[in-house]
Formats: sequence, C-alpha cells, structure tokens
Amino acid sequence: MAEQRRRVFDGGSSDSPANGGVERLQSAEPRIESASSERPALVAGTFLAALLAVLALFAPALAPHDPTRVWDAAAGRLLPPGSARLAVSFADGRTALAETVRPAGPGLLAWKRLDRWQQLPAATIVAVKPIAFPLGTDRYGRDLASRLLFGARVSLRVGLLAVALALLLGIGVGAAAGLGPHWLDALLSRGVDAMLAFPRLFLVLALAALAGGGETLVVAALAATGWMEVARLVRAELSRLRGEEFVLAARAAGVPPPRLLLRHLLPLALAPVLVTAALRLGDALLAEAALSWLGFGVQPPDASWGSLLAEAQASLPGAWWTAAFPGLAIALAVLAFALLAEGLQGALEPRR
Amino acid sequence: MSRSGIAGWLLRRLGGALLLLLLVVTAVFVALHALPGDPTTLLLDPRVPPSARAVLIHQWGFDRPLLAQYVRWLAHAARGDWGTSIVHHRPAGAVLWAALPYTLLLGGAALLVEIVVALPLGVLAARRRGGTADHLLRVGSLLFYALPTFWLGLMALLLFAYRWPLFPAGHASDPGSSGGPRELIRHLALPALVLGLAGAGALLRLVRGSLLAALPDEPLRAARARGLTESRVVWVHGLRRAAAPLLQVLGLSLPALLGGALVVEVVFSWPGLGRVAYLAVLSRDLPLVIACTAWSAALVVLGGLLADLATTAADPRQREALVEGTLG
Repeated sequence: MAEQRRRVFDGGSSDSPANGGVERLQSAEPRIESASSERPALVAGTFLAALLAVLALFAPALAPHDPTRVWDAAAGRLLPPGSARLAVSFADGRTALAETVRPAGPGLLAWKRLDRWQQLPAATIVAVKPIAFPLGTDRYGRDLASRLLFGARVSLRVGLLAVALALLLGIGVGAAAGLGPHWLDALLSRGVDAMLAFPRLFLVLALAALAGGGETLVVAALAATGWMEVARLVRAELSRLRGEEFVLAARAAGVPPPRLLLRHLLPLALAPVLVTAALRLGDALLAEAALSWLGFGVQPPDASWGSLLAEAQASLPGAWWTAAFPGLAIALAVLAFALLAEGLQGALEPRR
Repeated sequence: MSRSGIAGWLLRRLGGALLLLLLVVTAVFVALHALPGDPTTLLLDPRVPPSARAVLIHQWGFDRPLLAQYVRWLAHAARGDWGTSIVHHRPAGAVLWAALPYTLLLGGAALLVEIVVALPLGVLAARRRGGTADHLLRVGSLLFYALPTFWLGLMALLLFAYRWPLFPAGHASDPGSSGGPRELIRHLALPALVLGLAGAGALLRLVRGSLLAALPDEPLRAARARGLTESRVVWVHGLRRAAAPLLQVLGLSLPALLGGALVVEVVFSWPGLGRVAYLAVLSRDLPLVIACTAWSAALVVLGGLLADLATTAADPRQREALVEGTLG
C-alpha cells in the first residue's frame, strides 16, 4: 500500500495493481501527454532555481545596501517600495534620510525630513547622496531588497542542508530496509509509517522550541522529520531491483553488498530520488518559513525569508510590502523546485 | 469474500493503528525528555529557591528515571489522564478537550472547501486536458501549493479584515458576546477558506491525475458504448473509479492539514489544538506539549483509519485486496 500511495502522490496517475494497472501501463496516452507538458516545467524550474542560486551566491555584490544598516531610525522606517531619499552623512558618523536638501544662506543647509523643514550648519555635514529603496524599508529602516537577497542565502542554505541530511538518512534507512533481512524491513517500515503519521510542524515546533531555536537546530529538526519519504522511495526501488537478474549475477560473482548498493543499485534509483529531493527542498523551505515565522527558526541578526515575515507582522496592516515580498520570494522558490521536480520526473521517467 | 475476513482485517488494522500511536507517543516522549537541558530550568524562574525547586521537581516527577517517568505517564495516559498543564493549572486533557471541537470544525470546514474547489476544477482540467483551462489550473494549483499557508492567512487578514472589513480579524467569537452559530460561521469563514485553498491545489492535481488514469478503462468505454453522456461517464463512472486512490490521499494529507491548521490557528487566533500547542511550546508547558503532540498524532492515525474504511466502501476490489493481506 505504501508504494501505491507514494505513486498517487508523486505522479498523479495511479497505476496500482488493484486498479487494473497493467492495462493502463500499456496504454501510452498519459505518457505522451506528460512528455509534451513537462519540458516547459523543466526549463522554467531550472531557470528559476538557477536564478535564485545566483541571487543568493552574489547577494553581497547585488544587494543595493548593507542589509543590517539603519540609515535613519525615524525618517527611514517603513518607506514604501520605490522610495528615494537623500542620505545625509554627518561628521560624527551618523546618517539621516532627508526628502530634499537645499542651501539656506551662508554656512547653512535646509532639509525636509519627516515633512518638516529644518536648518542645520553645513560644516557638520560630510556628504549628501541620493539613495533608493526599490522594495521599501522595514520597521527599523533597513533596506528590504537587500534583506531579501541576504535572506535567500539563509533560507536556501537551511533548505539545502536539511534536504542533504534527509537524503543521507533516507537512503541509509531505505537501503537497510530494501536489502536487509525481512525483520529489519518490517521494523524500519513500521518506524517510517509512524513518523509519517505525524503532523511534521507539531514535532519540529516542539523540538525547536524546547532546544531553543536557531539555524543548526532548524536544519536538524527539518532533516529529522523529512527523511521518511526518501527512505520509502529507496526501499521500494531497491526491493523492486533486488530480484533482477543482474543483481543476482553480481551477488553470485561475490560483489560485496555496499559496493552492490553504491555502484549498481543506487544509480538506478537515482531518478526518483532526485525528483523527491527537489520536492523535499520546497517543503523544507515552507517548513523553515513557518518555523521562523513562529519565532523558533533562524535568530537575529541573521534573517531568513520566514523571519522577515515574522518581523513584518508587527508592521501590518500598514506596511503591506514588508510581508508581501518575502512571501512572494518563498512562493517563487517553492514553485521553482516544484517545477524542477515535475520536469525532472518527465525527463527521467522514460529511461527507467 | 467472507464477513469474518473483513472483521479480521478491521481488527488487524485497528491493532496496527494502536501500535502506530504507541510508537509515535513513545518517540515524542523520549525526544522531548532526552533533549539537552533539564526541563525544569526552562520551566522555573532562576530566582526560585533550590528547596522549592526540589519540591516542584518531585511533584512533577522529573527526578525519576526516564523509563519510570515514561511508564507512569503511559499508564496515566491510558486511563485518560494526560498530566496537569503547568501553565493552565488544569488537567492537560481538559485543556485539549476544550480545543478539540474547534480544530475539528476548522479542519472539517477546510476539507469541505478543499473538495468543493478541487473536485469540479480537477474534473474540468481532466476533461480539457492540454487546453487553456488545464494550463491555467495547473499554474494556479502550483501557485497555491507554493504559497506559505501563514502568508496566505496574513494576506487574507490584510485584505478582508482590515482593507475591506468583511470578516472579523480572528478568534472564534466577538469579544463579550455569547456566541451563536452565525457568529461562529462568520469567524470560521476566513481561516477555513485559507486552510482549504492551501490544500486545494494539490488535491486538484490528484483528482485530474486519477481521473485521467481511469478514463481509458474498460468500464468507462462500456459506459460510453451504452450511450451515456460524457459528463455522466466522467462524473459518475469516472469519479467512482478514481474515488479509492483519492480517499487514500485525503487520509494521507491529514498531517499536512493539521500542520496547516496549526499556523492558521495562530494567524487567526482560532482557539484550537494548534494554538494550544503553540502557546504551550512558548510557555514551555511540557506535559501539555506532549499531550498536544500525542493527540494530533492520534487524530492523524484515526483519520487514516477512516480513509481506509472509506476506501474499502468505495471500491470492492480494494476490499478484497485488503482482506487478502496484499495491502495495508
């Protein structure tokens, strides 16, 4: 039943034996359809994922400003997207944001800040330069676009690490269940079922909260609750393959089990594992976002997209942009990996 | 197939569910107790004097060996005693009983929204396969899958409670009001819509997939040959054949639904299990956290059992397979 459920989940087309699947496998209709419709998914998914990777990798070069810099705690907070201001630097190192600055007599400058005109001595001012906040600022006056770019690094790092760990764990357990003795398979499969029967967020929340939150813990908690699907998949693939002639031949020729697994079996099971990995990555991003939003994720001064959303909640309902853009960033990333998974499935399936 | 076969299967399935629940509960208990750090350091103010601390630790039973704590907790839980909530000063079971109807109501309403949205649209996508409607629905369902549920909730609040105040901005009743079904439904609408829409995308794809898989089948060809209209073929015969895998998947999507309910309950201050769990975690109320996680697991296991029962009711071939032991 496990494999049947899995297939319904992943492929959308059920070809379980109980539903007369043999007959359906022979009818090529759904395959043709998927081949034609999954090419754009693969292209779009690859493009979006690559774009995100580039944005995250080159965030320091691409970000318009320092993501933690507070230009002006009073006049720079919650500026809407597309705002432009004049950054006025003072001799003592402070900065302030003004709407306009103009000369006001000898040795004096006048600026308009917080809708009021004020005069100040020109000697205290070192520089005045225009700056733009393309996506606005948060409630402390930090540039949202820069925070999003740096947030991409944190979110993707957490997601990738968690999925990599989950893959290792899942492949290990799946291999032990698929190739090991029957009792081990039964035991591990029950364990996987038990873990799957669990609302993931409840467990991750309990774990993260009781151990105090933080990035390492988020990665560990996401990995610890995200490996079961991989294990299930690897087990199914391996138990399908273990009866094949080439496996029997390799065994008869005395190939040791670890080598058999790594050289002969895992490469064949790689395609579905890759598809699942892409899907898991999207799930991990969503779970990380939820966890950070609940306050148990990445801790300041680091900020993931989820923690940006958590911060944004304090400035709602006024400053919609502080919540809208991080949410869209998460959605875009999850979408990218979902498309990638769909495309990969279409591209890799016929070869199996 | 005999009646005793079904009874036997049911007993085995029930036993399996109980065993599963025991495993989950044990895992939660061990995980939460084996974490680094004494729970009392989290629970107690550092200013509490050591003598009072020792009394409290003894009262809570944290000074016993883990196994003894576990056996004692399990024995109590089996009798329906889930320990005393440290924050509420009430039995944890009573706190959860008060919250459970709200979560069931929210989950049920969300499931209804999910089905009402996904079923017709999934059928539409399957019938117009490859057409504009299919492509649009595909993009739409992917988008709803990709949006974080809590973000959807925040945006819904922003738009429909603040910008256009059509719905109340949270809680299950107006402050100071005695409640009533109308008021409850008004408060339920937004969270249920958000939670339902969050899951509708995935369900839509599954309806489409299962239908497409079923459409070329013999019985449907036979139905067409008998001269039935195409919509009757799809809606009656097609959906009946697609029902079993769909019910299975609905049962399997319960953990996700409950996880989504947690964040939606927090966004909308809905007084259900998820919000209780969140507040318990915030206040480090260990007995309540464990009870919450155990209850949510029990809900999922129970839901899976119901889904299996519904599957067997929907598809006789599934029933035979179940009894023969090739499934489950």
